[in-house]
Amino acid sequence: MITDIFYSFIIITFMVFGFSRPYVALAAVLWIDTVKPQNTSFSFLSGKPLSLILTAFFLLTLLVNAKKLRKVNNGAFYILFFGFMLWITLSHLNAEFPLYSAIKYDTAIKTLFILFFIPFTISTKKDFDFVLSILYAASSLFITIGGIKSAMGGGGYGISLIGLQGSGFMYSEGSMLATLAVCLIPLSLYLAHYSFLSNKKIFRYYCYLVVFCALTTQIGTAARTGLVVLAVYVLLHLYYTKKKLKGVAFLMVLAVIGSQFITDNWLKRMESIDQGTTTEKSAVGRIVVWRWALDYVADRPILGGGFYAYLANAGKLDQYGQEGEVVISQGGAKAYHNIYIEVLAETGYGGLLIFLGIIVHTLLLNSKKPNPNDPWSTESSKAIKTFTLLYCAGGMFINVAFYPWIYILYTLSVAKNSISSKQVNEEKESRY
Amino acid sequence: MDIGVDSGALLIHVFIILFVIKSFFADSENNE
Repeated sequence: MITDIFYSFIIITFMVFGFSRPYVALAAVLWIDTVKPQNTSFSFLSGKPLSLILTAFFLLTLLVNAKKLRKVNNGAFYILFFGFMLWITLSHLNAEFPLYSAIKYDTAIKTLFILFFIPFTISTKKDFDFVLSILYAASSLFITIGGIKSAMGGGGYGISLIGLQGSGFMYSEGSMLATLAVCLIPLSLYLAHYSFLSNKKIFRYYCYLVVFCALTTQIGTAARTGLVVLAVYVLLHLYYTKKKLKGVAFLMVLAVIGSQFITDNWLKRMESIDQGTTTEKSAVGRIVVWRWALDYVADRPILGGGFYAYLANAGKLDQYGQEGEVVISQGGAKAYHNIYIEVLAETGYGGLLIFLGIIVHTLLLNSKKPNPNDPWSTESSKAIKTFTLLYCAGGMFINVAFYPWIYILYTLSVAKNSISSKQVNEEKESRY
Repeated sequence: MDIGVDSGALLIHVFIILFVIKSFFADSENNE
């Protein structure tokens, strides 16, 4: 009950401030779609169409404030984004399992449609930081829950740290939670030091708490994906840090803090990475599904098999094993556990090409030459780029291609690029 | 233990969201 009152208060606050500011209404939609209070509530908000209400509110603010929207001159963005929306629609219309496909298509197309508006609503650095901070606060809720429980000795392999086990909620899966936790580390450091909130001590401490929880979440989930993503983060951090000694010192502090919470079970699980590709069922199962997917898509190279195409591998996986590997034999279907294979099997090579185009364009937008007069642009680009690379690394082992993060990072990058370009033009004009 | 942690994290979450909104608009007003 009290929780629902708090949530209602947040929703009302967003609506009051968002009516004349579409980016605030957009932040509200991102918040509600991340936290999903309607799914976790036991009181009056339970089952209410909160997402629908806030989305309708956001669309209304777009109409009312149409004159305030900014122009986005980025041809590649339109081609890739509309292209991907069109492609997944065609794949869905040709789906092998149309009824199942409709469930995932419904979520994916709505997500893409709403996220498309991000670059049009964000027009200043502060708006950008505001939307990013709300998104960060929403997703870090799960990391703080998971991190504190892990620090207190909770969790374990296959146990959902945030409750909601078996509910299909994206962060109830250990590998997804572990990946998100690492992805939030660069975002925490950016927001704590370069955003409009960087001079607020309370917010900075919260960001440090999230970094701490991100580390302990790795122990609590005992997900090997988390360790791989953490290793990628270490490499990226060292690469991007100008003062290497400072970078090493920061990583050593993280290692010392994290090592205090390591358990025997976690060590045992991580040691299984070694035997992964031949004798460990979970890892071999994934590789076998990847082989099956490549074979499957050979018959449908253009549009793939539509959403949930992996259902077609039920009872067939034992045919894809190789000598010396543990045999994967199961009656039911096994999911892809890889975003690239997921997109390939479900939308064909055409869809994969556009999907990779979106990732590459995100990285390019954040790889422009740093402007010495604008540390905000340099640091925000670094944070988004690192987040994207970490997510892509984690995506090698989980099915998250149609979850919003890739598209949020892309549209935020387009928005940020427009803001930076506008500033560069203004600087040039003022010089002449 | 779980319920305590969930509630605590939720309280922090509500506080941080409202803090971000308040800081954003307070700063904007000061600038204006």
